[in-house]
Amino acid sequence: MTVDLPSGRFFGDAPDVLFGVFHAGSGEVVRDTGILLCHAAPQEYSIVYWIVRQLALDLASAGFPVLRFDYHATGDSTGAAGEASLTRWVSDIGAAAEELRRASGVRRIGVVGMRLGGALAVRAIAAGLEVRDLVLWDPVVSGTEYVTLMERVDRRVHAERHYPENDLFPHRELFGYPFDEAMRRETESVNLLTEPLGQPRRMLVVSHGDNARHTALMERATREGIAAAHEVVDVPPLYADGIAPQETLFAHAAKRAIRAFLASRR
Amino acid sequence: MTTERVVTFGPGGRIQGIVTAPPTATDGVRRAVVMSNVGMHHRVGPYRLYVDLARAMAADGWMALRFDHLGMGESGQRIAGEASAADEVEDLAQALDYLGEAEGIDEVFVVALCSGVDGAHPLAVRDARVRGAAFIDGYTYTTAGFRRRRLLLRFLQLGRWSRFLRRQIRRVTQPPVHRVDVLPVFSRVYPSQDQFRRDIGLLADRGVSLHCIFTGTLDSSFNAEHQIFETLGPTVRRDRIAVTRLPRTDHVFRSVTARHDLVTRIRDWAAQAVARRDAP
Repeated sequence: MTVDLPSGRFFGDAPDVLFGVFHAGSGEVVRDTGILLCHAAPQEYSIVYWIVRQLALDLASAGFPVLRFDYHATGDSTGAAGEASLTRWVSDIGAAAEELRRASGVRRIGVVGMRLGGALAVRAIAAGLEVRDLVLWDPVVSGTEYVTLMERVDRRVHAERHYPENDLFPHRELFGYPFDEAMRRETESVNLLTEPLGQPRRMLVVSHGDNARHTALMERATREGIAAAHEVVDVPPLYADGIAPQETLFAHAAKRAIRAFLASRR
Repeated sequence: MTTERVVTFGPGGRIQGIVTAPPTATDGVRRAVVMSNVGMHHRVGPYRLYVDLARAMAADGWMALRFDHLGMGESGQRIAGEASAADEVEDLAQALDYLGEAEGIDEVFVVALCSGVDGAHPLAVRDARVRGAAFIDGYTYTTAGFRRRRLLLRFLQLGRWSRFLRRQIRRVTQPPVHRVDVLPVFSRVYPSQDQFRRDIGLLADRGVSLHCIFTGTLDSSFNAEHQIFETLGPTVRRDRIAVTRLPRTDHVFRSVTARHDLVTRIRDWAAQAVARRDAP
């Protein structure tokens, strides 16, 4: 069997182009839906990079054309780290959806949003992006709780170091990335229990463990007429109170759950 | 303005990288800087370090190529039968071939961090196209001088004692930070000290500019810049070897300040190395 190599590309209007990797669908089933993978925030990017790529390969082998991409000022996309903003990233999702349609020829789009990428995907859908299936993988439901936890873990990791670090502006960084007041305000504004969810036809929330926020999100989506489900999978957290950030997340159970949901026809 | 594009090369075009091109083409010697993976990190490098470095070098007139080895990042898998102990060196050599044939590059500087040095070091030794190499947290060998300094420094530094006490207090008052156990993904084999000495001697004789950079993470095996010369002995030429020790910086350059400092040091070193060689 020959497998097409994923195709790396820059897209969007120069000079602010985004980097993405398009995976053509392969296998026996021809799908009419393309899947857009929305990354986690830069602080978690390198932890989830490998599993996001694995998910893309897996979905492509199930016949889905897939595009994964880097938001502005992250990964291989243009922009310096300090230029990042959630508003910009939400519009990047729209541009990436267009690129997926253009590269694959499909009109229907499904979205998988990882962590903060889940919240960004919700905002893109609420702003008008038409999406059939939405998967929120360990989504950030409360931006305030998300920032607070990262700061706590960051401080602890810092304190564990055996030598003083050369941080001149530690209060403006989070997990090694610029995190100024504007970015903090934008991130803390995320609240998926109150902000508009848009109208995807189906929604799956995947959690690494019992999570009351995720359950509440699923219940809210159901109340709003979305066919929503919540699946708890046996994978480790990226980090938590007392758990240092992993270098690479291995989460095959989550990958399997997402593939099964997207491949099912309900 | 610098521009970036995706390039593929190597067997079956399965190695993928990003070329950052300088704003204007040079009439003289065309130079490129090459970076590849660090551990499990793909070609953007830890905390996007290699993206920042590539763009800074391109702004100085260099072409920059950062790529993923086969089996890593965005590159294809290795095909059975192709693999060898020198895989990474081969991938790097393919990168140099690409730069020469497709981009008209005359000479190359390699930048490697930690495990990345395992491929870049032997490549620099064997390939005359490499005219400069920055090895960050590369190979260290403890010397008598290292052991002497370690004994003295450990007891005389107040900061060490205060950090020790803070750690002990935390240990009593807070539960330990749990680290998720994962299987080791790769292991590293250092060249023997004799081999290292021969290799660096050969590079020095060939006029290759070297910049050996060591962070605070390597404190347990490297504690003074001149330790590199204690390791190399008196016969190796020192005039093209620069050494920088960054005791307040961690191994993956976690802070924005540390990354900015490293990028500045590498671009300054590269510019000086070229200017020195081009001087009449």
